[in-house]
Amino acid sequence: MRGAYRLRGGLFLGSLLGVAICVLAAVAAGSGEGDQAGRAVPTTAGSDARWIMERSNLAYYYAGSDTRYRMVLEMGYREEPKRLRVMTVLRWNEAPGGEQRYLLYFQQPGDVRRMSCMTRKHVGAADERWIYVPASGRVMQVRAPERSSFLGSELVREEFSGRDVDADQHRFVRDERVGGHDCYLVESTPRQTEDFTRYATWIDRVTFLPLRQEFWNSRGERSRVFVGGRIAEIPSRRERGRRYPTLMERSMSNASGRWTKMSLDSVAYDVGLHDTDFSEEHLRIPMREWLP
Amino acid sequence: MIAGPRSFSLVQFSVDRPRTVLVATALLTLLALLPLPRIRTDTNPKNMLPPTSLVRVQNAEVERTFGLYEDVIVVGIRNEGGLLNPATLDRIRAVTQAILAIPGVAAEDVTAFSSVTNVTSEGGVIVVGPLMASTPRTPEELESLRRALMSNRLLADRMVSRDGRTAAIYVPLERGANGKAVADRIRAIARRERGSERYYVAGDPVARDTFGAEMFTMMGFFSPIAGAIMFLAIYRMFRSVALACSMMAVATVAIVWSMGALAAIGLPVHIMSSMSPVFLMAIATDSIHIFNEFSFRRRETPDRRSAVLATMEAVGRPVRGTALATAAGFCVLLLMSIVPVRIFGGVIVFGTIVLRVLSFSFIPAVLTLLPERSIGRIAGTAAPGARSAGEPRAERGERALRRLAGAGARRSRIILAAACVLAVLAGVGASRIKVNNNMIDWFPHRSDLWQADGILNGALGGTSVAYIEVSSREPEFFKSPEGLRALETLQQRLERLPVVGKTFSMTDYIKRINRVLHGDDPKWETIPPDGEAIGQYLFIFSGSARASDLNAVVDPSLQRANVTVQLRSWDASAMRQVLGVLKEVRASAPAGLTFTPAGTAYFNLVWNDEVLWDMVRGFLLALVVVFVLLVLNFRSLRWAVVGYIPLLLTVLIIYGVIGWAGKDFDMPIAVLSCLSLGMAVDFSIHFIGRFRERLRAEAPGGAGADDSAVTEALLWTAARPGRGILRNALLFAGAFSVMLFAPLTPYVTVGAFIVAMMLMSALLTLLLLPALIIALRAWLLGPEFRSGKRKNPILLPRSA
Repeated sequence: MRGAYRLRGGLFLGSLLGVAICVLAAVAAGSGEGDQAGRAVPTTAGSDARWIMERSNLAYYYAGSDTRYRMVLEMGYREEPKRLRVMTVLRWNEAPGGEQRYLLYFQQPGDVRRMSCMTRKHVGAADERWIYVPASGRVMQVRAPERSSFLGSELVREEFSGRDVDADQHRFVRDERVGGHDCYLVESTPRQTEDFTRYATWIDRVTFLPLRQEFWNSRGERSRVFVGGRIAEIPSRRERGRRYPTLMERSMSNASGRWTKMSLDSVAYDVGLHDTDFSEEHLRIPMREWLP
Repeated sequence: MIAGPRSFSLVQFSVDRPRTVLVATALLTLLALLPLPRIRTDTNPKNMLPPTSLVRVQNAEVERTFGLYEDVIVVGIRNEGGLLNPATLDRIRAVTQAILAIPGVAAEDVTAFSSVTNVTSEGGVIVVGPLMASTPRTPEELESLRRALMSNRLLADRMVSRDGRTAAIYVPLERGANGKAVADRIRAIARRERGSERYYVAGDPVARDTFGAEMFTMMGFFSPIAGAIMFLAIYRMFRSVALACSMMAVATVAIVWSMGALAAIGLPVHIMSSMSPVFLMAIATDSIHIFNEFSFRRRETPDRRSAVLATMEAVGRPVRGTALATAAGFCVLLLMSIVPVRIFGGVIVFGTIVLRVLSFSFIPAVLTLLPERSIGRIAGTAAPGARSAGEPRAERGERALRRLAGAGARRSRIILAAACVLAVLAGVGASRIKVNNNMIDWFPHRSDLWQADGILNGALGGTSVAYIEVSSREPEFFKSPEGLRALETLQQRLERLPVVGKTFSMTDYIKRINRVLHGDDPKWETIPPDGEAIGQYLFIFSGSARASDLNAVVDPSLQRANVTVQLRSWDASAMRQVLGVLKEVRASAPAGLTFTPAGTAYFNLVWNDEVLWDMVRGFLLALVVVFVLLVLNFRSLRWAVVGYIPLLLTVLIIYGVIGWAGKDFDMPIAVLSCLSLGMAVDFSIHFIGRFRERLRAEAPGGAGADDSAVTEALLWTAARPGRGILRNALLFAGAFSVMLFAPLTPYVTVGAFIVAMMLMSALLTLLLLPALIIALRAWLLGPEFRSGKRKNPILLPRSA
């Protein structure tokens, strides 16, 4: 008799479980549908993914007609002591979204104080780079892939100077809040084989600065995470009332435990740089007024 | 373990209430089965030593400082016709790409020559980028790749062999990844590739995790086979299924209880304890003495109950003694510093105690309950004049044993002289023993792993890796030319050793940058003369390589630098040579520099020495413990000495053979050498115990204790308990002979060792002991032997 009871009890429990599974499945299916609906009809009018990315590219890499700032790079591995790089960066834009010139003057560590780098960024062609090595007294051209490490940090070169918007296919996913900011979430997949298979960017709806970026590798693992920190409104030196929102802190961390933090200070926009300032001569000897 | 009167009452209880005993045993066994599914293995050689050991703390520290991977798999690709052709290069690239997608692989730190970042100079332009951005197709492109590979110290011998036939991909694993699983995936990728290339997968993690997988095969497959062999052997000896079943039941119960206890405590199974089922099965064969005696008693005493009690009374003492000796031998292991050896000792001690408790409870209970039919057959094997088929064989066996002991007794001088010669020869062989633990050699030579390791060690820098941390008290010391020169000197000295295939440090990187900045002129592959240049070159290097490449050679404060040393051999002696060089370099190095060895190769050396000292300590301890046990068991110092001699000779001969054969004395053998004393002593205890009992019974009051009485008692002992000894040895050897077919060398070694030891020990007991007893009879049996006046002449020699 008792056996029969137990059996009936088992049946009861089993059916209960079955119902529960059905309910869960229904809920899951329902949420899936909702998600699909969200993707099909963007909640924001005119939020074309490519347009968002282009705006973001301009806000992040092309602010001002030129700029000058000091940048502190900290690089570390887990809890271990970190390496430090301090440099002054000069940038000049030919036109928004067009050619650019960069000059980097290193201040720390001590023995690289007089070293410097120059980059000519071309659109749709390989960038040109030079390095000045005081120890050999020579300026040398450097050829390096866009996706190789920027100064040994977790960032790649093109993440310092900008990636071609059309190198990837972009898709708007949804609106999402990140750290108190309303953001567009855009998912991008590269048109050519890269060291990542896709990445997602959370772009502030107001400033169009990227507040977060996540990269996935070919194994479907999240391999790198970029986080944007404090945004400051930096006034233009030329145009009164014009302000450029700037990410003063950024970090990139790698799933392997390595990380890089960048912080900016002494940021100035529209300081009056010229194309001709970016020359071999100034690579060797910087103009005093440029350095903060 | 069990005191005399109490064990007697346990036997009494078991005979009185056999069913209760059987049910209780069955229930306890079911209980012990419960924790078994939770059992896990641990084959990481690191865990041979506790995490708090100095070498592990040091290694962890160095790995942390330089962000080094604990586990790196080396994949070799070989084309006898040369690698530098477009088809092969395409395949190398495809394989590398596929490896990056394997879960558990630290993809961004995989180093292959197809993807490694290279810094070169082309017409005054510094070119940073993958060595092979696209596969070279034209002869000129191929030639330029060849030049790039061979002219770069960081690539030649490391990424590709000098003869251009073998390339390596270094695949670091993420923490906790299974080396065998990754290796299997890599092999699957390689199988998909068509072409004349051959692929080899080697490295510490592969060896370790392959071993782990094979260990379960060993336990799950070979233990039952060992059991089956024993079952058949017992059946052949006693012609009783019931008896063979009960023997197997005893062994199974002991194994289940022991492994259950191990799992319940939460300890993992290591290489040594994975052998414990076979050990326990073999140790269980000691109960054969009970069955052996019962088969004789049964025909002498018709009443079943009395026969069982009489059997237990006759063999109780030696069985207890041998169990104690075995347990004591394994107890010695509990004092060792190698963790898996301690655990193994614990399991076996526990199992042996269980076995003995069962001998005094479960076995008498079974003997009481056995159906009359099977009893008849057991007795039949030994009964003279019975119509059983086993009878003539039994008689022949007895005759042969009598003849053997007779030879020992009659030709005692010749036998003793031969034993002495043998001992000297063995002693010389034993002195040639070389202590060495080489995990790769634990795999048979036909295995993929062993061959892969050999090929890669022959062609490239080596698969065994050590690190040497050089640290200075001065900040930024490794930005100075002196700092780099200290590293360079160390490397040059190390590379003079034939076992060292390759070394590299930050010096190589700096020299490389110096050369590149000077138009790739080999003349400039030197250490820059001033610190500022070094700092700038380091900066260029850090900007052109992966962050992990810089981290791996120097810490951010530039006070600690790492020299990576690739060894072509996993032998401990290879690392010992490195330490020798280190000692020389230390003596002439700038003041304030410290050199700390680390890495897997260094760990293996430390562990190896630990095994040696453990072995020496354990062996000496076992010698003492076993001797004390003999003295206690015989209550006589002289008899203990006599019983000790065949035992020592057995062990010495085995050592001698190992020494002469040039076989490495590794951990499994070291452990066995301690155990062998505890196991081989059984036969002496049985023989001498029963012999003295017989002599006392046959010549009460010493009346007939003359030469002929002694010889007769010897022959009786050889024929009756001697038969038990032989059966025991054969069973033991039979069970372990299975291990000779194991897929891993340590199991084969253990199998061969035990088989040899058991057979040798039985032979020496039956041949050498009679010779010794005859030769020393006056000394052993005392003046009573001559005068025959004492009441109890044999039991209490004068000296005792």
